[in-house]
Amino acid sequence: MDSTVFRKERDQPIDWANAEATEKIDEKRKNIVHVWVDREGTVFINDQIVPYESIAGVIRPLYTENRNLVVAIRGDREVPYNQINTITEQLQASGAVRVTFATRIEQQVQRARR
Amino acid sequence: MAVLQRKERVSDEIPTASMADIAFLLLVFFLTTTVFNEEKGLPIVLPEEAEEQDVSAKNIIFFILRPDGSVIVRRGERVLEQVVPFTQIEIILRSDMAANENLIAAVKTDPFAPYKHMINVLDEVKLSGADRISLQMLEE
Repeated sequence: MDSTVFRKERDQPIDWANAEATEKIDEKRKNIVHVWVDREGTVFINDQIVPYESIAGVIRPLYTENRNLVVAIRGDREVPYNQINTITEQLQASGAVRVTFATRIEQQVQRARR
Repeated sequence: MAVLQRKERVSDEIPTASMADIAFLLLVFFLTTTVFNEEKGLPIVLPEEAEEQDVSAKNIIFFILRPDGSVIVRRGERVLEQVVPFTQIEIILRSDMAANENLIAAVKTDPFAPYKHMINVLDEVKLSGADRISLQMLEE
């Protein structure tokens, strides 16, 4: 009962990027906010579509409320980098500079096949 | 003739026979609904806005990522560039860091390169043990 987590948001359909150096983020769930970027480049935060230029405006109050905030960017592997770069710029503007590029763990064998 | 009526005794205890059933139902419910959320990824701390530092060119190694996923390696002041597959980055960076412990790995990504390629390069940089990393977008 203690460990039950009722999800507050829906997972968006994305193709995950894989990385061998993927590590577990040792942070409480309440300190993590997810920024989803689907293949079309649409950004979702807490199930809401957020225009790129408004990301800082959405994240800033969350960061003001919680200085331990970590932003997990869950981007589709095919999204052009300029969109990810816009997100990181918006995060810098909001002050939330602790960022994680969410990835799936990749085994060495898979990596060799890439 | 007097008729003796048998009195029904009402128990003063709370019936507990179904307690085990309820407990197991709750247990099964929470077992099936529990989600252990583990956040995984490549963590990085972005520089604060307008926090720019002058860095000596000899302390920078650039990994310029092209849209097709190939990587150009350029070392600070040197003009010489080499194109390498991203899987070589870890080895290159390890050897360069052994020679210069202040080395900064600067990943410059083409704006139209798929995100997965940037993750591939960042993965290699992380595997090399580098902790001074800069992420930039390649300006056209």
